[in-house]
Amino acid sequence: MTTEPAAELTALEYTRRADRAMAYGQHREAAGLLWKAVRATFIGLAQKRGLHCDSDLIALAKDLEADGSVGKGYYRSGLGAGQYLRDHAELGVLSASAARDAYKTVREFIVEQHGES
Amino acid sequence: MSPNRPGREKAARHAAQAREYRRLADLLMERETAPEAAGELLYAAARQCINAVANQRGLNPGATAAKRQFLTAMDEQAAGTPPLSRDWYTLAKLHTHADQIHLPASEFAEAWDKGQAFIDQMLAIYAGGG
Repeated sequence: MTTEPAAELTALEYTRRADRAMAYGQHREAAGLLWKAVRATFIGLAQKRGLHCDSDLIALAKDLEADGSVGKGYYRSGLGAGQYLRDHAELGVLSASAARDAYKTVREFIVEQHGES
Repeated sequence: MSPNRPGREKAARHAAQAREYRRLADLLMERETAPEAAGELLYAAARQCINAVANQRGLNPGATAAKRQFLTAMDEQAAGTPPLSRDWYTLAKLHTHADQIHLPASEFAEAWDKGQAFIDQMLAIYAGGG
């Protein structure tokens, strides 16, 4: 598999690649790709709403929640679950079944943002 | 003895343990000497909350996977925003923080806040009868 800089793929493309990795049982690689999808999702949301976006995604998540259009903690919850997958990708902190559960949860969050499964 | 009384008694024990773990977690956090241990205790409190609500409903999710499944089932019954099962992963970072990964301060603070909110929500559900 080729490796591209994060900015070159869309969130959905990362998600598709993550799904392929997951289908092959490569749950750490899938977790890393889905984390990139989460990051790309937040960067996309920031651009769409004209919000400042640097490396502090928690601050961005709070900004996204500020208009009250979603429940308090909605974006931070999705981000936190994504970071949980990031940690698994980097250090393998989860069993295969726990990784599958977390993957499903984070994928649902991404689909909610993009309206595509 | 009513048929579900053992479940209610177990639920009450778990709820009491959850409150005690949280009290100790808060105490450690105030002293600022062992945030990792405080995080681990808050994670344990959250697990006890899940047990309490599950026991109240006649269920007994032992392993972490069963607890996650229970939360997913709760989300399906009453869609919350954000879903409890999603919140779980944010607060579970407190456990990985204590065990394997040192989280950046902002992520630890976020996981801590999420853990507190999760416990409040679960104890409210418990107090409401499950």
